[in-house]
Amino acid sequence: MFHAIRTPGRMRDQLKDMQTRLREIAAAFLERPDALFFIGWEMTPDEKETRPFFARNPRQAQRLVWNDLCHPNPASYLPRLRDREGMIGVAVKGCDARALRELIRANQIERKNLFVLGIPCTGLVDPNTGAIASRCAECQYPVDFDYDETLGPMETPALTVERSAPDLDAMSLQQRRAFWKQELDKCIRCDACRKICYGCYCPECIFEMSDPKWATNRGDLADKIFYHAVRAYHLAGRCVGCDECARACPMGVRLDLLNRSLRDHAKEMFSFDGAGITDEKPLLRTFSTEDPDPFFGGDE
Amino acid sequence: MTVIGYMKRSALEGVLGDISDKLEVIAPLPSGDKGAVELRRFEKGAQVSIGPVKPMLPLKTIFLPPVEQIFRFSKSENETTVTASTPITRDRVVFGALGCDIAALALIDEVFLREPVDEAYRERRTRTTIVALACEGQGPECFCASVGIDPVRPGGADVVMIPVKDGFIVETITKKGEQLGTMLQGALRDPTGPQKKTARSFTSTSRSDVDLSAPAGGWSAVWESEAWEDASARCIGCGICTVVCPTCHCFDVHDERHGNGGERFRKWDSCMAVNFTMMAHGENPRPQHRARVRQRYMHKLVYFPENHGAVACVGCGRCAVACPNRTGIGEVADRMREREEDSNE
Amino acid sequence: MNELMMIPLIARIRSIREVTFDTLMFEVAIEKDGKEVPFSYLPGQFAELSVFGVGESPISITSTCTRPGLVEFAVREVGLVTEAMHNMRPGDNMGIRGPLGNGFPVDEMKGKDILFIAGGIGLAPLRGLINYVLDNRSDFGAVDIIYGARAPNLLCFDWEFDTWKAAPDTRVHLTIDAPAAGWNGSVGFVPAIVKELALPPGNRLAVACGPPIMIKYVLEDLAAAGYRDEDVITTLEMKMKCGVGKCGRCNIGAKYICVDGPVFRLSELKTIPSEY
Repeated sequence: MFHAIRTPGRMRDQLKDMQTRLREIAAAFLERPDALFFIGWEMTPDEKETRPFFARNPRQAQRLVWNDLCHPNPASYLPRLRDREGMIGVAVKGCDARALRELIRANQIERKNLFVLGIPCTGLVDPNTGAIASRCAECQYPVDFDYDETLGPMETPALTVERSAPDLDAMSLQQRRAFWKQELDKCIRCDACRKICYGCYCPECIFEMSDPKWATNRGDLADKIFYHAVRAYHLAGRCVGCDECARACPMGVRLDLLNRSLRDHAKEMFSFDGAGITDEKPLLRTFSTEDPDPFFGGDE
Repeated sequence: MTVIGYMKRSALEGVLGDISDKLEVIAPLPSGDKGAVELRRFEKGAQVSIGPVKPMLPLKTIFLPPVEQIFRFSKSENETTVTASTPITRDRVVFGALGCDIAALALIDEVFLREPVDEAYRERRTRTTIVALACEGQGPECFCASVGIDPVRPGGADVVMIPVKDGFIVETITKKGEQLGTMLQGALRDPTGPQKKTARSFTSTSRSDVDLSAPAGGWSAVWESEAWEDASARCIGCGICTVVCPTCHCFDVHDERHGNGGERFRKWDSCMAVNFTMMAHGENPRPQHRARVRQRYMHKLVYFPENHGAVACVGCGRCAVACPNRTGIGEVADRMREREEDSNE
Repeated sequence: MNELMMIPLIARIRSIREVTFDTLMFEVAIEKDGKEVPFSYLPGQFAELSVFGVGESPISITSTCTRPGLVEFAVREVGLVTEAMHNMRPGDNMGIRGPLGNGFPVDEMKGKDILFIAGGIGLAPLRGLINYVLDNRSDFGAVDIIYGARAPNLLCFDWEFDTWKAAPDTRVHLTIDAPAAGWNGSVGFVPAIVKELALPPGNRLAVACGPPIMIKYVLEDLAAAGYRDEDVITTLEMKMKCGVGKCGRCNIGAKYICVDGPVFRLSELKTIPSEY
């Protein structure tokens, strides 16, 4: 039932203890008369990965797991549940908590309707490679949140792994353009990246509108680039780097790199330190005459 | 079914190259850098991927392309000229098709070949010879044997190639297959006794214990099943299950205008999308996510069998593999048939 | 069969008539390869009309095949395609694929009394059937038409009412939702009029078409009045694209509205989920 791959034995025991606590806390929450469900993770039927699980009673809470395969972001389900009457329990690791903080700030869910259990994450494992997941390699963020309970101090995981290749900044403009053309041409516009993203909560996406019709429906490369570019910019300053888009993509498009480069640029150009970390105004809602403008400066 | 000979694996690309002078050849080719495979046009010099990797997009793409022009139109003063588009220009052969995918075509035929016949689909079907690769099971997700498919000699194949050591035993099944067989002659030799024996005893690891049977009592017995609540709670509604499904065939129709003319095309669509049933005046008979999830599984497991006598699933398992939450149809079918909540726990 | 499948013929607009402030009636001639061709259909069938470059919409045929010649479609402006249609002029052309759908079971309706119940634009498919019945008057029994709209100026096809009233053994009961200046007829919702008239089932079929909320109450009232499910006929609406049972979006349960419908008896509706 337990599938730590790279996680050392000592830590594995620790994870197991955390899982026991998680189940106890979720079960206790689900005893409350106003509790709707508790969103956490369960093992997939093949037991090789985890998936989101909505426990609806204390008995079902025993199916919840916590381990180094808990990739899905339970907070991403909250916007669509905002009109449910009652309390929703949700387990969050660091990146999920950053998303949750952004959702609350954007009025997508009310804090008072949530029971939030913080889980100190020590890094996830990529089930395909057995290596530390690339998103975790770059995670260096503590997450301040007013948790209802935690499974321990919410500290920054001490992981220092090299950035995953390729390094887009080392490429020339032409190389980068070629890279993205090839990468985005794989896209089949299934919208999994948009549907799994915590930040894509617009009631009507511009790509679903017929009037005005912003994008064509032809699905050629220009459409694909338009779609991904618009989505990436719309997430600039809001992407928490959970990399769920890349995990969900059935065609293996490196959406993680696209969002990472926007996070990098937000930091370099606007000293914006990543979403869900501070309560400073969202990046795209601030303007200063001091803002750099390399586009018109023509540095490339 | 006739064994026409043994072909060495190393001869394959050469043979396909020769055939490609006469026919369009489609084969599983490497795609991207992660060992993925894609069915697309074979050009001389390409390396075919034969192995335990299923193309993520099924064989239906060859017959119902993801985006397909229906017609072009041009306008002058008061006249509009409509010109139907040509679906294909050459006869084709698909090499290396898997049993699940071939079986799915028979299900799509039920819809697209009944009156009024979809001419573009029919033309692609009649002008394509299908060479099956006997399948030993492509992964733990495979369960075609559970839905009555023979992954070794699938119905619907014109030719079957059965892997044996360093090559294949080639069997022709239909007239079309025999014609293709003559093009393979140069690369064939007489099979040895052990080769024939291997081919005869070739088996698949496909699971045969997945139960997709319809609920007793039909749709009404499961209309309010907890299965829909469970599956829709974690489902993000991306619709990738419908994209990778060999039997899903729903499409949308769009017009584009270019100057004085334009085109109409159809494009795969998904019942998981909110807009799928949204009408122009704003009414939507399936506004809730739960209703859309129910529609997808009910169509496969209840409605399609009612209309066509077969479950609209061929056991390829792609839905569970592609789903970000790994939800497979077998799991949902089991849950659907359960009477009481949580009886599986 | 291409004209049904995906390739449209040309529907040349001969005239346009205002039905209500948001609904126009197009009289079209059907052309194939530049020549006018006959178009035969049943009452209750529909066609996919298109504005080239904008899109296609399923629209019910409101004329009757008993009057060969031009084919009539009443189009309410609700979306992109219908908006584009409203911008068209006589002489312009649309695309047309059809006739599609099952149509009303006119042969089985012969010899019966018929109660027509319509609300708003719901009269469009019934108008073809009413005129079909009146053109074959001796084949049918008594005819009663209950028709309502929100206001007098929203009653569709008002030019037909006098002709219908003048037909033998035919009564027209008009109603509007709320009192309005200059209106001397009934006031009240359609279901209320159905109840008030209380026409007994006997040898009578009821054919109802209108907004979902009207249909809901009318069906309940008819059942209470003793109408058998087989004797109540209505039409369903669903999002459609191909209109020929392939694109997969207009199903309700195992039925496809485009080919198994849009006309259904209540007894059939009771065998499918109420997802409409």
